[in-house]
Amino acid sequence: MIYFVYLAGGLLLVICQTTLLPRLPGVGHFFDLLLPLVIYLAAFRPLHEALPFTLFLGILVDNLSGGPFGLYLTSYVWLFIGVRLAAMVVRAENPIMLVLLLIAAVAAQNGLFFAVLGAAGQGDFSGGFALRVVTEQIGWVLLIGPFLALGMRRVHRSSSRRAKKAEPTPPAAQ
Amino acid sequence: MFSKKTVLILAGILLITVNLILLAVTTRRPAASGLGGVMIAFVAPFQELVTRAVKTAQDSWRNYFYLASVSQENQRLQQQLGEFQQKSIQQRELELENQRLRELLGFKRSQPAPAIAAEIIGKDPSVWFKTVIIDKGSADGVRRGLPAVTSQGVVGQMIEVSGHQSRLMLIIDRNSSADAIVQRTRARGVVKGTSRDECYLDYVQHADDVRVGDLVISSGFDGVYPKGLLIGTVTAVDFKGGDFFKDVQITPAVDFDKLEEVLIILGPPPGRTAERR
Repeated sequence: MIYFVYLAGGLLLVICQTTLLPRLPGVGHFFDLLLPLVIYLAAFRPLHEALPFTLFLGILVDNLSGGPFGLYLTSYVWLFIGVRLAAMVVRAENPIMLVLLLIAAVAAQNGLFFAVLGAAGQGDFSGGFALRVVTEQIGWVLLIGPFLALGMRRVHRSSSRRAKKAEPTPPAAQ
Repeated sequence: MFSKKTVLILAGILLITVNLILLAVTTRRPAASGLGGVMIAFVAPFQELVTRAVKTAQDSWRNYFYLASVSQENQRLQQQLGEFQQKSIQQRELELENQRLRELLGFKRSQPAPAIAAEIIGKDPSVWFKTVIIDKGSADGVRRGLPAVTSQGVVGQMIEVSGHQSRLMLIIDRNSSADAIVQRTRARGVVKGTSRDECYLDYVQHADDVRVGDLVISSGFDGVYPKGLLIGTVTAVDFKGGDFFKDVQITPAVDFDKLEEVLIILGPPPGRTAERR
């Protein structure tokens, strides 16, 4: 059931990214909408549940993008590892921390793209265009990141409550 | 035998190595595993559904607001129609004259190539690549490598085809290239994308005459785009003394931000294959 929920959520975000956002006027360059989902999975969900789905998301987006295969997969897997490690030392439930993680994720993903494509000789990212795109994406994170962070916290709390309720109650001592 | 820390470090090194190898291979040689087609087939029906819903909503909105200006628009269009009818007659005359001259010179009559219209249902998730997903696939006769155009000019070529959807690489994508000529002087070069709203005409020799405002058209030599399709207009020409080639910047004829439908050319015009042989 949980995988179906993830699948539906991931698909919805992919549709938003590829079909809805390009049609909205004035949106410009939006950040990768799957980054918040990967952060949520890495920070709040168990490894056996979150990692396979993160890998699936990477493969899915790699196949929908014109970039070399593995670029998104790489960015999601390393983001997953990074957030997992960060969650050991910081309180990931804090909305400010989640927004900071999202900003770092957007910057790191673009950095990875520049490094890989630059090394392969597929473009020069030294110009103002690259800087403008990354700034615009971070601007969007600052604008809607807090809402996403609050949403993530809410989903995490309600799923934790549900999990606690589902736990079998210990038998009363005789 | 090994401590947990050592295992983690070894696993990290292994992961980085595998990752680097994967990226090194795929950046040089695009994967053609067929998985792309499966993933497109998985996502595209939902994209198609959302596109139709958004389009219906947009059309209803436009129809409601545009109703007021329809009468005015109608008057203007009637006037335009008259002008176009006049031009059409003149064009027909030129066509007949052209036909007579071609017959005199012994050229074979060129016929329009078979084509199919397709709607764009999804765009590339990344801003750094320029590909789109269209609602026609192998079941409609679409094949990898076929060119797509609009009435404005060249759009791109098919790079991935599934049963009922395909992925189209736009001519502005960083991996795209097309053989082209400058219409006025026949100077030849290769149009390369930048993944921005501009392209470059590479390998134009320094002696070639290219000016701002020149039209760049497909040469037909790359075997993908038919000859004579408009690619764009020259917007800047730069030449440094010691260089062998000129830097020629082109603004594409097609407005890719507003692109909604394309025409896929399914094959060479009838008779063209025989003509080549």
